[in-house]
Amino acid sequence: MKLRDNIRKINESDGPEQARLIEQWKEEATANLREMSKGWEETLPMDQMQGYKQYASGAAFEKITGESYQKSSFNWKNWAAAAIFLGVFALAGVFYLQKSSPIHYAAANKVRTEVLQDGSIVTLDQQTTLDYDGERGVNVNGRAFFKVTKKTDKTPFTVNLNKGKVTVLGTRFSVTSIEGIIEVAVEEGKVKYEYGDREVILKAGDWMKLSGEDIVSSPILTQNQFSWTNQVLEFKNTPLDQALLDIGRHYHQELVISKEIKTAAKCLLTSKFGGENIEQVMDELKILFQIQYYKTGNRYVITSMKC
Amino acid sequence: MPVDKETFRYLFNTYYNALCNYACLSLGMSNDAEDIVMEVFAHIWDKRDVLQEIENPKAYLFRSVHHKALEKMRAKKLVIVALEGEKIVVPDYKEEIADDYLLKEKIFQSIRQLPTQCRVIFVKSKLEGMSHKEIAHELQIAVKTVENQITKAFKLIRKQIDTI
Repeated sequence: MKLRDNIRKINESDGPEQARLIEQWKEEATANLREMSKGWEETLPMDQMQGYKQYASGAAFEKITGESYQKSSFNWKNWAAAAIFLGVFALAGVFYLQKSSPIHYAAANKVRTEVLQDGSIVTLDQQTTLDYDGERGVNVNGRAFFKVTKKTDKTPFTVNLNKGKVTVLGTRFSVTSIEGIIEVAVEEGKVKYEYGDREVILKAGDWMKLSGEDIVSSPILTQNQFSWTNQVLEFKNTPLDQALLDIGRHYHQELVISKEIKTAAKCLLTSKFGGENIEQVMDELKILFQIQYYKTGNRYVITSMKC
Repeated sequence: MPVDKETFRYLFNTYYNALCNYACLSLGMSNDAEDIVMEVFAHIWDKRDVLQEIENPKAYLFRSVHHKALEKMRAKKLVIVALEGEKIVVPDYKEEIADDYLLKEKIFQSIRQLPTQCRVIFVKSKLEGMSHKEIAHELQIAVKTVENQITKAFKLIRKQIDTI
């Protein structure tokens, strides 16, 4: 309206008046233009957009339908990509869908943790080998800690040792099989150890040892039973004889106290060891308890101490 | 006629994110928003063979989410209470609100497709509420550049929305 009015006025008048009107019209036109272009933006509820976000819709779609999520399924590019993907997958499937193949694991000078194909997690101590049949069975030589996942069809998990075997459904436990000596310790759940015609059921907190042909079992008395898996050895007012057992187990050494010493149970140790080697641990004990010892092979014999 | 897979996919693509945001922002279900919407879609998926064709999917979905949110609040004995102890009533389902969220979804998806710099500036300005000067300072660019990028963003968004 305004524009037309102005134009009419320009036609009706002349001189400076006309120039002034043209100027005015220009200004108004620019303002109009600005307003027009602003208008569309204002229809967007931009001020209400705060907090709006993208949810994980792909994951949700797959969770609900069990099918893969493709945003626009009619886009040929996606189809091409899918075709290539499926091709690769089919090729991979040839390898993966074959009967799962046995895998050999070995930990040389480092504790290592592996996830087996059935989802179970195993931590191998140094100098340990483990052979996995690809399904629910392993052979262990050395020391290993298992977190076995339970199968819905209740297929048991079997650990074969050089003497006997352990079967479980789903639980956390460790086995040691070194030079014919077998130890099993259970952190959670229930396991069964079988050797010849003998059978031992161990529950959470139980420990057993096969030495020669004798089986002994007892509750786990120490919090350091599984210390080797995370390399942390911790003592809080622990009687020294127990502490020496723990240190021995942790480092695969045997720490013995000569028979003349009667005080070991009265000495209490409070300390924490992380990545130290056994010599460093013994040095600390030297300072704390003035222990004296000699070493033969894997055996430390402590001859005197004070506390 | 039952809901076939393609229809389900279409409904999901069109409404899922908008519904999550609706549940979260409008109904205040910030932690459960996703669960609620997933339940609604899972129900449709599970019953897709016996379900009648959904005549008005927009109303159906927004209403369902709305009811589920109310249920959840009741289950949790949750009464939304303002600071002064005054009850806040959850707004009823209205078509305008649904349309509003669908438009927001379109805008949001268009924003996501903007070129990087343009998007960063636009989001800072419009979604995070920063001033042009603050943005210029933060990104070490001229205020004029900020303005230009925002204008460009609006143009691109408009083009996107018109094509959707």
